[in-house]
Amino acid sequence: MQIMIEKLSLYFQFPFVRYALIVGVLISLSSSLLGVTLVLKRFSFIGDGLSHVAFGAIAIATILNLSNNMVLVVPITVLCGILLLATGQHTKIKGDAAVAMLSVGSLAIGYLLLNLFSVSANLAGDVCATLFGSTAILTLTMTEVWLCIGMSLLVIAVFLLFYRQIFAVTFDETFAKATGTKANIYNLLIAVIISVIIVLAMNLVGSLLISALVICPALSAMRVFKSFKSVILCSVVISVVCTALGILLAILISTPVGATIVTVDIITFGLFSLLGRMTGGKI
Amino acid sequence: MALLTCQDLALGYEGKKVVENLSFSVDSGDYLCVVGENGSGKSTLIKTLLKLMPPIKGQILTGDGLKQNEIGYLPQQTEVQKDFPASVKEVVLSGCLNRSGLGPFYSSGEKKLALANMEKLGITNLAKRCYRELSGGQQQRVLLARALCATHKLLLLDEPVAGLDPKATADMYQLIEKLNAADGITVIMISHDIGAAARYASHILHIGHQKPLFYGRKTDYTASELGRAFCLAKGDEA
Amino acid sequence: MKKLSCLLIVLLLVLSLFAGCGQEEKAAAGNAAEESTSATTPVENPPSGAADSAIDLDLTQLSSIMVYSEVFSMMERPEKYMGKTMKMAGLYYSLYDETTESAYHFVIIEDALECCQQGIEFVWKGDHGYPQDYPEEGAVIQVTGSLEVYEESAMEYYRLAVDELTII
Repeated sequence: MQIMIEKLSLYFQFPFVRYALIVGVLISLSSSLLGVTLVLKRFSFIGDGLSHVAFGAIAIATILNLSNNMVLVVPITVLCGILLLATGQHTKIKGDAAVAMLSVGSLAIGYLLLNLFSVSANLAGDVCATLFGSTAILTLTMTEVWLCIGMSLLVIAVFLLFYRQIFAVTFDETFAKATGTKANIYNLLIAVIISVIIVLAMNLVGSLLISALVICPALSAMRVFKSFKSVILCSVVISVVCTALGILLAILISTPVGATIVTVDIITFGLFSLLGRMTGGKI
Repeated sequence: MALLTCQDLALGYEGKKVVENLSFSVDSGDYLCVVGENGSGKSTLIKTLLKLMPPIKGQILTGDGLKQNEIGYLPQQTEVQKDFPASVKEVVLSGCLNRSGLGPFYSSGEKKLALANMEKLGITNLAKRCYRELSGGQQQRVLLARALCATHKLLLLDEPVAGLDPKATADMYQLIEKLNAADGITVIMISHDIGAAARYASHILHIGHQKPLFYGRKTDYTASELGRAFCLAKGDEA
Repeated sequence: MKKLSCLLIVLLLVLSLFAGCGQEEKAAAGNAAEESTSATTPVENPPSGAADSAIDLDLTQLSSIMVYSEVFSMMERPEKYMGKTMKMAGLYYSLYDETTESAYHFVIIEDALECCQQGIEFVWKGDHGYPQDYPEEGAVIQVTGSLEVYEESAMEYYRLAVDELTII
C-alpha cells in the first residue's frame, strides 16, 4: 500500500497524468448524465453505432492528415447522431437495423481507407489505439486537453439548462408534445449531446468500449435509486469514481486504460445489483 | 363561444381517411365521452385535437381563451415508463413544464401547484415513491395530477381506466366526475366503456366505421335506438 | 442544488488531495537531493523518478504505460526535455542507411497493449564501432543520456546522447 501511494505521488508529478485525470473525470461526468436517458429511451445501442461512425471519421481525418482531427470527427458524428436519433421513428428502415448498417459500414470503410491510404508507419497501432483507447487519454496534446475540457463543460451546461425538458421528453414524449414542449427540438438536442459525448469518450476508452462507459453507471444507479434526480446524481458519482480509479489502476499496473475503466464500471454494476437486491429498492 | 369546436373534420394517416364528417363542439364544463370500437378513429381524434397530427380536412377552433398548450392530457401508459426511475413528485412536476422557462429547477409556485394537485387526487403520501412501483390506479392518478398541472380548463383522457381493476376503475371515474363537477374542468374522455359513458358524461360522441353515428346530449343518446342497443349489449356482457 | 454543490466540493477535495500528494513528494525530493526539480515550475518540467541527483528523469522507475506516455509526451514537446539527463530501458534496434553511410540506433518502447510503440533515436558517445561494439538486435538495453537536437538534410531531429549503455 505504502509503495503504491509513493508510486502514485511520483506519477502525479507528470503533467500528462494530471491532465488525464482531469479530462477523464470531466468526460465521464458528462457521459453519465445522458446515460439514463439513453437507457430509458432504448437508445443504448446507438452509442455503440455512433462510436463506430466516429472511428470511420477518424480514419478519414487521418488520411487527410488533419492536425486536429476533432474538426472533422465532431461534425460527422453529430450529423449521424441526428440522423439516427431524431429521425429514427419515421424512417422506413427500423431504428436498430439502421444503426447496424451505419456502424458496421463506417467501421469497415474506415479500416479499408486506412489500409489503402494511411501514411502512418504503425497502422495496427493506430487502429488499436482508436478502438480500445489503450493510452489515448495519457497522450493528449494540449489542444486536445482544452477541447475536451471545453466540450465536457458545454455538455454539462446544456444538460443542466434543459434538465426538466430532457426529463419530460424521456418520460413521456407524447404528453410533452401535447402540452407544448417542442419535443423534436429536444430530441435533436439529445442527439447532438450524445454525439459530442461519444467523440469525447473515444479519447477515454476507445470506440469499442464507449457504450459501457455511458450505460454502465446509469444501469448501476437504476438498480438502487428510484427517482430521476437521484439516479442521475448517483450515476455521475459512479462514473467519475470508476474512471478515476480505472486511470490510476491502469498506470499503476500498466493495463490498457479504457479496458480498466470499463472493468471497474462492470464490477461496480455487479456490486450495485447486489445492493439493489439487498435493499429491495427501499432507497 | 365554445371551448373547442370541430368543423367537418376528416382524420387519418398519410392521406388515408379513418373518419370523416366529424363536427362537434365542447363548452366549458362539459363532459364529453367519445365512444366507438377499436380502430374507429378515437385515438386519431385525440392526436388531432392535441395537434400532434394535422387533420386531412376541416378545422379545430379553440375559444374562451384556451391556448393549445393548456390542454391537459392523460395518455395511455407507455413501455418506457415501466422501468423509468422517477419519483411521483418529479412526474407531477413535469406537467408544469409548459408554463415555465429554462433551467434545472421548478419555481416555488410550480411546486405549490404540483402539491395542490397531488392533494386533490389523494396521492400526497406517495410523493417520494417511485412511479414504476405503484399500482395501476395510483399511476393513473399521478398522470392525472400531472395533466392538471398543465391545465385548469380542459382535460383529454385517453382510456383512463384501461387495465385497472374494478375498484380502481370506479375510483377513477368518481375522481374525474369530481374534477368536472366541483372544479369545473371540461373533460373529453375516450373510452370503449359505453356503460360508464352513459353514466357519467354530459355529452356523447359515438364514432362508427369511418363516420360519426351520434353526437349530442347523453339523455338523447340513451333514448336513441343506437344508444339503447349499445347500452343493452354492454349490460348483457356485464 | 444542494446535492450538486456537495458533489462539486467532494470532487474538488479529491483533486486537491492528489495535488497535495504531488507537492509533498516534490518537497521531500527537493530536500534530499533534487534541487533542480523543485526549483522549477511543477507543471512544465518532467519530474525525477530517482534519488540519483545526476538523472533528471528515470523512466526505469515507471510502469510501462507511464513510460510509453512519457516518451510520447517527449516526442510531442521535445523542447521541454532538452538537455535533461534521463535513463530509460527498451529494445535495441538499429538501421543502416546506405545514402548517408551511417547507422541509426533506437530504443523501442512499447505500450501496455503492445500494439503501439515509440522509438527514440540515440547516439552512443565515445568510440564505439558498429556493429561489433553494439548489442544484438532486439536486446533489452538500458541507456542514460540527455536529449539533443541535430540537423540532417535540412530537417531537425531529436536524439538521446548516450553516456552509458548496458545490456540487461
